[in-house]
Amino acid sequence: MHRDEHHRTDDLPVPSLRSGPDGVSRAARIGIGGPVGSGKTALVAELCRRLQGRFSLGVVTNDIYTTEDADFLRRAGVLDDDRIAAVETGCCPHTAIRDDIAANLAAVEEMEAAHPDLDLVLVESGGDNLTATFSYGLVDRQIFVVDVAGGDKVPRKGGPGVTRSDLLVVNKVDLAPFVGADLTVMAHDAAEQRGERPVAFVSLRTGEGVDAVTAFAVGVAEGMHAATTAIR
Amino acid sequence: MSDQGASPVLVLLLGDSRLPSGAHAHSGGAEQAVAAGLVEDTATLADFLEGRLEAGIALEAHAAAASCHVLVPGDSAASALPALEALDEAIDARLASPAARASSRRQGAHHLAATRRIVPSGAVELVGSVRPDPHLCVAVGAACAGLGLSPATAAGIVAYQSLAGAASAALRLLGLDPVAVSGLLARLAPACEALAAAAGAQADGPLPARAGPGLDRLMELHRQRKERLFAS
Ligand SMILES: Nc1nc2c(ncn2[C@@H]2O[C@H](COP(=O)(O)OP(=O)(O)OP(=O)(O)O)[C@@H](O)[C@H]2O)c(=O)[nH]1
Ligand SMILES: [Mg+2]
Repeated sequence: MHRDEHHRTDDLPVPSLRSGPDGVSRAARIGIGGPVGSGKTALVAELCRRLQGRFSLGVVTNDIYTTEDADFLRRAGVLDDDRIAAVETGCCPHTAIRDDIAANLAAVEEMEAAHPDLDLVLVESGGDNLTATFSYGLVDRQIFVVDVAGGDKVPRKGGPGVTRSDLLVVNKVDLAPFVGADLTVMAHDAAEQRGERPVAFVSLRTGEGVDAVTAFAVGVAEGMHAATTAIR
Repeated sequence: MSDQGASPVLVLLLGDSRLPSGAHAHSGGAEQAVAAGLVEDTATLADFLEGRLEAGIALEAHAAAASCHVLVPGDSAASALPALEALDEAIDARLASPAARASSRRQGAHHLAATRRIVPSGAVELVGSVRPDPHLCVAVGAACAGLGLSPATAAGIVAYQSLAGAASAALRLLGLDPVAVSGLLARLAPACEALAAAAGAQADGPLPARAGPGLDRLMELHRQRKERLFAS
């Protein structure tokens, strides 16, 4: 198993400077997508725990039923209530993060206005299918989370989330022995689909591999900072 | 006043449900009507939409025409601003349900933010200078005025969007036959056109003040729900 080969998060390009509607600098934004139950909320909670002292954070969730994920995050106590916002998606979670990002953009911008110190906003998509990806009009980088228990065929199936996301997280590796998933096959297929784009094998249950995802998020947040400080 | 010289393709663009203005997540009361058992098939959806046309949509159409009329290019900001403020208050006064007012403003804010970039104009900016969250009908009227479209066209776009939005929400929630639902919209086209023509002809007159207590109640109940798929 050569999982470490796929932890190539250090060679990410620095995100280009993006500015808000009024030309003022804004927080970096990471979209977190993937199928239902793959561990998106667990990842958001873990990233919040790990990044909290270092960055000013916010989260926008896009549940099927409005507030489930937001409520979970509130209960987990990882962020203050007013740093978690929930967006309704009208039965179409992928529309809300890709085709019509109006409500999500407004939620992010309102949070930025309420917290001018905000460094990083994590936008969790509603659980969807392998074709659902974020518009880069909404986020700067996106992480696609798939679940080992969904079968080791998932990376081979491809789809824009698997092939084009900036980081593919293969979560729940702790379950691999129980579901007969071959991580070597997954790593091979993912590399075939994604070329140079990084893959992280993770268990949010045991903590394995989470460092790589944290490093990715830090890279996005700091890349953005480097760019915005330079023009000030 | 006619659309002479204006682009018919841009009429299609503004009336297209794919315009990224946040409309896809709003059901215009349809989600609550489905929950209450008032809408359960295409026939009851027809009743619901006809009721919407009588009260809520009539107001929206007339207000869109009024907004477009006030913002006809060439008119000075000095004369348009007080008229816009009065129009905003007149709409508030006619929307009994706070949830309906909030939804209209929310969608107006999204529409304004989107059309500012999609079809920028002095009219759109002027509406934005009054407040960042105009009523949706006012925002659509402004976008139309900026494109040289007539008040009747603005009214028609708003009326069609409202009907189609509620119809598509019911379709998603109930798994209705999409061909039957589009057929229903086609059957309602004459009523929609008659409303648009009347609104265009009375664009400088007072807004209609017809009550729709049933729909107001649905909007309020929806707002209080903990679990919902649509934002309104
Ligand atoms: N065994 C195991 N379970 C996990 C892991 N990560 C998450 N889970 C569990 O998987 C379930 C789903 O996790 P969530 O984080 O809610 O998944 P999600 O992708 O946010 O789900 P939706 O938002 O409903 O699409 C929860 O019961 C988690 O505790 C993991 O690495 N290993
Ligand atoms: Mg979740």
